[in-house]
Amino acid sequence: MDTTQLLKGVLDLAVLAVLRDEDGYGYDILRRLRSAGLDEVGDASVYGTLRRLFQAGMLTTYVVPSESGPHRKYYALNAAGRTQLNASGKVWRGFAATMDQLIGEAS
Amino acid sequence: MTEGTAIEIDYYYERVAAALADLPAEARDELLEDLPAHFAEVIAEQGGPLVDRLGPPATYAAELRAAAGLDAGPGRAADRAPIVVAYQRFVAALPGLDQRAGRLIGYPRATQFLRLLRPAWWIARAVAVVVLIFAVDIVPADRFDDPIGWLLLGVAIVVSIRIGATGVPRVPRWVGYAGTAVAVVGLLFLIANAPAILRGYDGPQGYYQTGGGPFDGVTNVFPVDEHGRQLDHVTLYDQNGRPIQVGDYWRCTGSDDDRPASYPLCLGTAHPSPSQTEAAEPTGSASPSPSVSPSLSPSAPPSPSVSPSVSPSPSR
Repeated sequence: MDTTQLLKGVLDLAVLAVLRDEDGYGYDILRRLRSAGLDEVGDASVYGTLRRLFQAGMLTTYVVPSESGPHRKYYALNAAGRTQLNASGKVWRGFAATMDQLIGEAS
Repeated sequence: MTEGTAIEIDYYYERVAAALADLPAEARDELLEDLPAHFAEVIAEQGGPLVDRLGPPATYAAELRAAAGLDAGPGRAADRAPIVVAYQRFVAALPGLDQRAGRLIGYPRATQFLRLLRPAWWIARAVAVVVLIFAVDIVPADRFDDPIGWLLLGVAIVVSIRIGATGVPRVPRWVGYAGTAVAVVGLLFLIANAPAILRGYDGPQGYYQTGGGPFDGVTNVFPVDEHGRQLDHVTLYDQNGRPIQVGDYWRCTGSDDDRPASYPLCLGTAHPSPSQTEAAEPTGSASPSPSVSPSLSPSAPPSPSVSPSVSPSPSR
């Protein structure tokens, strides 16, 4: 099964989830997602999702100057983002449980 | 960051930007603003070249566009029209109103119904703008009794629908606002003048020259009596007692605007007298000698004794 198709529906949730405990800049967020096991997540998808979540008012940003490289724009969850994370998390758990049950019955 | 890396980032960035050129400038700039820094990070972490890490720029741009929710395609430009955005903000501010209003008219959402009306607005705005163009006489077409008028209307409707449906040709935002404002003014103008338009612009009183009539080109009328003497302050009436107005009767009416035209128009200003025309005729049309008019000019001043007896009292 093609996980990129599955990923499309839950990338928002995944991005919000990796920002729950720690703020991060674009590449850092991508790395966290990949190290969490979402190997196939695309660079542009993550970057675009960050921009969209920011536009939707779920993230705040701040710039941290870097001595070694370019300045980094950090993304942080705000209250709306946390609310969204909790709500989407519940939806996902319910959905996953349903799917688990379905697959359990079938196999 | 080496110079080679900077060039590579610039190159990749430019090609991504080019692939997003159709987006509204604001959305595109926001999407692109952090990309160079991000690319620098990618190269620093993973090494180049960028095309190996991120794929072709066009693919990257497409993925970026999709993830950012800026999918472009037919009709999507219309979804970003300022009025639609403003409405969506309004709806977002009042949760539930969209659904409640929609239920009232049998739709899940009111926005869903309004969306259906957009093509009607595209046509209406074209008509409104063209009507305004006629109203201020920008083109030499007299409303819709002229092929040029119909052609202009057709072109305007096609262009308007095309802009609405595809967002192409793109126009700066202020041009869009200005166009909408003009269209709204045009619609108000249409509504205000609806009765006159339905009656074909025939005023209730008087005879307006609409062009092509037998008196087309007549600018003044010089009544003369049986002896060829000019009559002044003559008012012409039809069988119903309505004043007949031909020529440029509005030119010299001055303060007494509502009174029917009195002929000859513009008394006291220089105008050719009928006797002069009569006198000129025997000399032949082939050589209109200029010597005739100066010699006859003393006879031009009208004799006031004739005038009062002539004008008939209209039966009302």
